[in-house]
Amino acid sequence: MYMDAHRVGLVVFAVGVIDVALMVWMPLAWKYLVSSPSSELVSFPLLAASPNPLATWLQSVFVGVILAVRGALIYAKRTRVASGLVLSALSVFFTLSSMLSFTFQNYTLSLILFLLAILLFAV
Amino acid sequence: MEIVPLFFGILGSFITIIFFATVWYWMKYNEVENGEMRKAAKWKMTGYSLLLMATWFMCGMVAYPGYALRPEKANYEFAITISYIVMILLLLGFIFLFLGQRKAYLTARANPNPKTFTLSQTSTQLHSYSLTHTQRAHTQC
Repeated sequence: MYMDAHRVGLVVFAVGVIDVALMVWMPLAWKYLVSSPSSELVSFPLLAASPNPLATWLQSVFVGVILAVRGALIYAKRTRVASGLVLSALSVFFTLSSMLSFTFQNYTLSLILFLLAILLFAV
Repeated sequence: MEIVPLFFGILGSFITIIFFATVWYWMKYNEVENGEMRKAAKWKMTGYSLLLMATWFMCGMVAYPGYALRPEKANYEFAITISYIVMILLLLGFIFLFLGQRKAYLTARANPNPKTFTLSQTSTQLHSYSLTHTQRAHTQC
């Protein structure tokens, strides 16, 4: 069980870091190294394929942070593996919903959902 | 002063990398630390995460898509909305840091740790202890 918590925690942590790498660091490297600095970050192919590149870009860092921190909590056996995964999934769900509401300019709903995500993230 | 996008891009990337490294060491710290100090570290970690999110939103305020630093492209409606979110995140982040620090202080005050010594410190102490006792024995003789 101890080993399982370690492995699951590391996987969740790694998914968070990979998420940020794919959606944040790679577009930045592409913008400054491959393309010209004046080009838009969101025109990076992976982001441009998204229906809303900006929301996807912002989500990436938040979801990445949440997954990394929750992965660390699972790793350290702060929560049981199953409940840790459920809390991570719920937190990510609320963050994504918050960003979608933000996209559709429903700022109040977006803020409420984001606060819910933070609450679950901090539990 | 001219805006150098490369500067902001590289430093922004480093901030997230350093954040993940911090989470990594916090994860390892949780393994060796038991009790209430872990809870204090958790509050602080939540605070750091919120500060990171605030930093990221700040990026959207001054650069794409708010462009507060470039009046010719600025979307102030967006930048102003984001500034509210940034302030809320900063406030929450600092509240969590405060709670974590307070918890750490209260825990340390309630359960003062016994002094721990490294191997070299212990051997030095033993040496001085034996010297003192030898001197005392000589005086008594």
